[in-house]
Amino acid sequence: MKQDIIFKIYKLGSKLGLNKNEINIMINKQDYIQEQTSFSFGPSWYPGNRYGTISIHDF
Amino acid sequence: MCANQKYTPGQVVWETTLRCNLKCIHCGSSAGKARLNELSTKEALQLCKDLAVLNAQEVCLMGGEPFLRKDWHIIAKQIRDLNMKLLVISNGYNINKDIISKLVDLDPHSVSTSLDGSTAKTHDYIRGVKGSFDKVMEYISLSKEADLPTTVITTVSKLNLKELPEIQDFLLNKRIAWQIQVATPEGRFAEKFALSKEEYYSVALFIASMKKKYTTKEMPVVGAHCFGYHSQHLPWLGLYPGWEGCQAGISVLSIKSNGDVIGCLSIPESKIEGNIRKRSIIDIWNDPNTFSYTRKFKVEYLGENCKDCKYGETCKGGCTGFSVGFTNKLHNHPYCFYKIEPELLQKTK
Repeated sequence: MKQDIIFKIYKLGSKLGLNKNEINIMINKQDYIQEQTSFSFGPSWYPGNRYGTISIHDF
Repeated sequence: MCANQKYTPGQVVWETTLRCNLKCIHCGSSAGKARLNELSTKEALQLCKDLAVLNAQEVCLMGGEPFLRKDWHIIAKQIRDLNMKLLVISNGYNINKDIISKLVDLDPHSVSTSLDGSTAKTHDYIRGVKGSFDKVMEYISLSKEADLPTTVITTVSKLNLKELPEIQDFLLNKRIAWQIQVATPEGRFAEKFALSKEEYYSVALFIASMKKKYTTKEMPVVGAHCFGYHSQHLPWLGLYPGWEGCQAGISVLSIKSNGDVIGCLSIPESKIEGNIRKRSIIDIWNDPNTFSYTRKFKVEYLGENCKDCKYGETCKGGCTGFSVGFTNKLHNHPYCFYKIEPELLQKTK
């Protein structure tokens, strides 16, 4: 059953341009979280609520 | 800022009118006709002054379709004159050079529009009006030409999930911010088009992959607050790291076009805290008894999806709007990464 679910993730991922290897790296590599490009700080509140919007100036 | 003020509204999201010229399948507000008794220009301008007293940082004008209000630029100018940042979310359908010119004069923090498909066929179907894709592409083009800070918002459902890579190709290296969010079963949106948890997680992987592949200059992309939380595999998909619970009534304040005040426009009307015609927004915001579902949150409020979670106390059950849309309960996010990852990913280890 669970094998079916991950197969579904691979299949869905492939439709979004992600290959199986890429997905496996993302979900298995422990330091992936640390490697990603993101921000280490921001305002005390965080833009991006579903009924609001972000700005290019926020990046 | 008031002496007794405990919370500062970082972003105010203001539905200036419920009137809309599109008929989007996923519209959570069921926009179309204006509400009865929408705020007058005079009332709107006073509201701007009160928001400035509250030290609101950003005011986001949306609808419905905000450009259908003839006084939209008068309200927008008042926001800017009071030194608050201005953001406008429009569907772009009635865009013209006069609107662009007014926007340029207003020096907005963000000019945002919705792109829900990579093709006219998909976008027009979701938006309910033929020609809306061409108009939004024109809006994006005019906005960029005028050097306005442009954002595209894509609301994902089963109807457009597979078009995300093509939208990505279109946006790549254009310096257009991209906010990806998930359509939730509320308003006009039918549950049959909502993403399954596998589809939801695939979109999360897609966003994480973009954040890995591209710099923020190449692809400034975020997942909205409906994506999260405490993943054991993926980076935080939002703008800034971490999640400290739904911000409705804490740093987010929303106003409906009839003056009703609510923490977020995507949560149920039962959570309306008052109306600015009866009580000023300053009083409503600073009332210690308002917005209790977030301000006075207790772990006992957590629904069955979040009950006993070790992050429950700070996470507060994820995005309230998403939680209510899918489960009809607050504090009960059904697709939380921390909850679904063991189920979805166990066999890959």
